[in-house]
Amino acid sequence: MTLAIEVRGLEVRYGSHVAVSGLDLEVRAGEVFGFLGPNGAGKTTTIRALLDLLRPDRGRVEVLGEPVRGAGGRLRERLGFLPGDLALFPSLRGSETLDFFARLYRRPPRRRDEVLDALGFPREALRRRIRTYSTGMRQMIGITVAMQHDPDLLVLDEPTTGLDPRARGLLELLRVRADEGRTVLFSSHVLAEVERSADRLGLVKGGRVHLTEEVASLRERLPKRVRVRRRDGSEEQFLHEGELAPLLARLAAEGEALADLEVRPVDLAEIFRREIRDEEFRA
Amino acid sequence: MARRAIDGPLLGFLFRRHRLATGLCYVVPVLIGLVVGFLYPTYAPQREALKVFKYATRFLGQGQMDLFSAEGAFSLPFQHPLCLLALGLAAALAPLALPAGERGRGALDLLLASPLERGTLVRTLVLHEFLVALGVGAASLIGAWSGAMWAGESGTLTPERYLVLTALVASLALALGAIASWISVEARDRGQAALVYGVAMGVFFILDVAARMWRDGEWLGWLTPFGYLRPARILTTEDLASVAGRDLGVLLAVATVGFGLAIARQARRRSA
Repeated sequence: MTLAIEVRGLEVRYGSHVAVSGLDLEVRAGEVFGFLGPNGAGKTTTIRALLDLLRPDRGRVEVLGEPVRGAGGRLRERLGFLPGDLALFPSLRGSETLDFFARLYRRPPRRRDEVLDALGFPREALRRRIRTYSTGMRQMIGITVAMQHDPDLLVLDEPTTGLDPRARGLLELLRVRADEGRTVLFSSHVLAEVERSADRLGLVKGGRVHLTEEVASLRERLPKRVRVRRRDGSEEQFLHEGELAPLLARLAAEGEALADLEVRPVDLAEIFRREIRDEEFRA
Repeated sequence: MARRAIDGPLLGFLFRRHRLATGLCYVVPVLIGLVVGFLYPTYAPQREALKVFKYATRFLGQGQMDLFSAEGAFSLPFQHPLCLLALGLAAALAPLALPAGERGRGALDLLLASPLERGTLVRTLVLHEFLVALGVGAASLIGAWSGAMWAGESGTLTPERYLVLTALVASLALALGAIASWISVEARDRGQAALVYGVAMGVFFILDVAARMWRDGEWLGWLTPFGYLRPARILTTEDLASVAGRDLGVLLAVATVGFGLAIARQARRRSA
């Protein structure tokens, strides 16, 4: 198994505040990895360390098989990055912004049209200056900057912030990238997006990776929310973990008294709320 | 792939981004020169009267300006306070915006996540500052010469001394650009960088004014970059080579140290 990202014992302090404490992270080449966690958990700090934008107090960070520190431009031209607090240059036009970054990356922007199409960005708006753009349009330009040169590793911090549902074609595009052998790490608060597009996810809590798991296996072991309604008008709701057969057998014993039965899986958001006792996640 | 000393796209971006403000700063010495060229002929009676007291001008000393001579009057584009203010602004526009300004806005992360390296970013800024400084020097020379031509006095100016003044103004702009770059590398955002640079400029100006006005305070002039731009000294000295060499040497040394610190500190910063 080839690793696109390998982080060992990452520690970052801001004065007396420990932002990341002994964080270990592995992202496999060719997968979409969802990086989750509440505000202040250390996601952005970790992402900045991955790109050598922040030098950690301790720990080892390797990206695409090379230590990020000292690798320089040779490594970074294979990366694409969207920061969480995206700031572009307001005086540049959209097309000039894309051209400027394409020249900085020293790679032809061969994926530009495909990304703009997937996001539904209106082409005529490329002639306008960034200062006239809405938040969502700026985000689309930022995503295109990150993806237009077809990087081997894409690191996106909150990529869907400000995007309307029409622009969510981004998530399908990330899947396509992974199917082509590219690696994607993206952070998000929107768990439904992670559930839909990620192969694996990592949950960061208190500056450490609290949980790393395949989305499919997590989905399999999710408890089921069961709602039972009886003919006498009473109703019962509970979470059921494990095999369904014993539960169904028990309910079948009630015979005619049973009026309705609903069984549905709990979504990721509910699990993570329980895991980290944080109300920030939205389903 | 070899590491790049200078990044062409970034250099082009810097020029494009600051072209209007830098151009306005260039206009100031040209305008001052033209105004002097327009007014200079109207002071002919005063010049005639002063010839009687010619000995008195000796007491003005080397550091003071004889505004009634053509050489003195047309050196104003090199030293008028407005020109020095424009010079200080032109030198600081790009360094205050990058890296400090973009660090504060968040765009520096986007730039440095690309193959652009920290050292390359600052070295590109240094080249930009060098070219801006050449422009500042050229604008002062154009101002002086066009004013003198308008007044019909261009034949009375000594080209080699005015070229030295041009080099001194360019070196002063480069030194201030280097100081601004160092401040910018250390600052968290443009506001903080501009405040520190403004305070430094204020202190430099006050030291310069004190050095000019206080009879025993000429040594204060050695503590400020402005003290090494004394057009009167260049226009009147008998030993142009050594005086110009010393003043240029100090200003270029300040620029070298400032830019060196900026490059080294940016490379060692913990956060981009």
